[in-house]
Amino acid sequence: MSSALNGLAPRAQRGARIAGAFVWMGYTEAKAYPLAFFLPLVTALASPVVYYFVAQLVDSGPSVGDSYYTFAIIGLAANAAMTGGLTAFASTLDYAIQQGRFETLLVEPVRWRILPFGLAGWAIVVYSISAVLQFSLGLILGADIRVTGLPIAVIVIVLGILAGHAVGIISGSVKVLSKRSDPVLGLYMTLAFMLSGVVFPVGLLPLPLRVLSYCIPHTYVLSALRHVLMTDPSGITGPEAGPAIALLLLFVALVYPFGLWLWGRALDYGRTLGVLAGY
Amino acid sequence: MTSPKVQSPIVEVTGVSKVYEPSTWWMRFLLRSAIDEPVRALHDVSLAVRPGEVCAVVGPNGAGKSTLFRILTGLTTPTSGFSRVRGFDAQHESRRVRKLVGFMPADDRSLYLRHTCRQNLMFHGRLQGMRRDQLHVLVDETLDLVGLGHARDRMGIALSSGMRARLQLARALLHRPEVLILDEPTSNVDPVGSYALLKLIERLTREHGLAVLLSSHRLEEIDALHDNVAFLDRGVLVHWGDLHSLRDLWERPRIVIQFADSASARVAAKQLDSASDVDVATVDGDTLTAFAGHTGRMLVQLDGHLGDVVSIEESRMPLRELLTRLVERREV
Repeated sequence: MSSALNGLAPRAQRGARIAGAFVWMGYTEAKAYPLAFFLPLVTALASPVVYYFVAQLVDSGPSVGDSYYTFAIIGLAANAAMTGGLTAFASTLDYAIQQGRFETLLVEPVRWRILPFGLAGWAIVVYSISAVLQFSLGLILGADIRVTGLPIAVIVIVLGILAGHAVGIISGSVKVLSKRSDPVLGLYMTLAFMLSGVVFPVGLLPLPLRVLSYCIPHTYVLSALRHVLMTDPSGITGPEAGPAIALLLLFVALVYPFGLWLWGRALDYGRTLGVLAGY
Repeated sequence: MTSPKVQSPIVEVTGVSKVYEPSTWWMRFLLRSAIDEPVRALHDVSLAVRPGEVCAVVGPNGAGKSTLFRILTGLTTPTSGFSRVRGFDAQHESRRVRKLVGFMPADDRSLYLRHTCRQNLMFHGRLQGMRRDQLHVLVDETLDLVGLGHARDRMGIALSSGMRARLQLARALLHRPEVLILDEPTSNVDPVGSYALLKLIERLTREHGLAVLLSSHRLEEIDALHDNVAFLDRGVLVHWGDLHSLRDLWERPRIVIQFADSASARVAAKQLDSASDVDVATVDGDTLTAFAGHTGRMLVQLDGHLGDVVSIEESRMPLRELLTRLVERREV
């Protein structure tokens, strides 16, 4: 047992070093193209402003925790963070393929299984910064939250990012063969935004769609966050933090191994077809 | 210390064939297939490279050079046969093989051009799990090794094509591989720069006992490397061995004779056509070009016309012609 743990520590260190290398490269790349880095962050701030005015028109009933603006801000910021988890790997992979860098990464003496984590690292950081900025602007514009709920909220959002990343690995596995098209992510993101209750309560959905919404981890993240962060969550539909965390853990435990298995299979198939290096 | 020539091969390619199959129907839904029927990229190719040797892989487009390199780096699997690097199977022990191999792709797009030379190498070193304190020393040593020590803080975009090629070479050398696979390393470099790059590769090969596989379209460069050549044509290894033995098999001196006038050149060509050991290649005005097994015997055939000869020049058959003849012989 202790020898297994001894072997695990250097592996974990090595994994952290590799993930760190990708984040460092992403950071230096952002410094090299500063406008490309800052512009998306600035445009992300438009949503809290738009919903500030939308909130003036919407009744803040119990189903939105008596504050539609707080309800929407939590939805928007969480959605931004989870979009990072979802899209980070596939979009960075896409960029690496188009730039001709993917082949160079594959011939490095690096476990190919670590690439979904490394390639996604910096993009997740950027999306998380975007989420924090949206959330902060929301607070400035009048969103009201329970500060005591923040530690649990952080746990929920981290699990949400991991769940998204697990789905993102499935998407990347398709992309490594298809090169450009991305049916998994396109479909998932559309469903997630429509059904998980980003800017309206899931309770408004017709029953069949409501059932479908509970197949998407986003729904659990949003409902858990609203339960722990809103000052009056009594009317919020969906599971509270405890059950949501348990379900998210289950999702991550099932989908990550499947995603990594699929990634390995996609690379093996790409090797046989001879399409790994192309674009 | 043992001589590199008697060491056992570090790269072994044994009976490797690769047939690219058209994509399955569901795969075509994702990506348009480049082929409609199976394409044989390599057929029963065997070769070996020892430490301290450069093996130049040459051949026309579609000969199978890139496929061979991809099989050796684990990016493609062979349909049959196997390739090994220091005994590790490139298909099943790909990561172990990649630890031993440094790869330089054909174009420089894979470099981070808005980053300095040092940053480019630091990234790849960290990917390989090297510790930061070790890496600083190693990066500087490697940049010095390829002659980029003075440009270590210069961005990729500010480097000449030759310097970018050197940076790519440095990246391939960073983890101190035993084998270098260089895919057209001089393709974007001017002749002077490419000569310098090849000499650098040659020096590193000898000094560090590297086994180098290198592809190039510039045959004069291959000629200058004075080492082994693997000549591929449509997936088949047409020649494998040193250039000297290839020349022994095929080479006949090229003789260029300038006559006093074009009529004399044409008459001489007619006379030489009947000679058994002479091939008249061209008659261009007053100049006749021929290949002959023996220059003296050819001149004897010109008996009666020697007085019309203004000059005679004998030269080695260019490698390009030598290889073209190999291809032509296969087609016959």
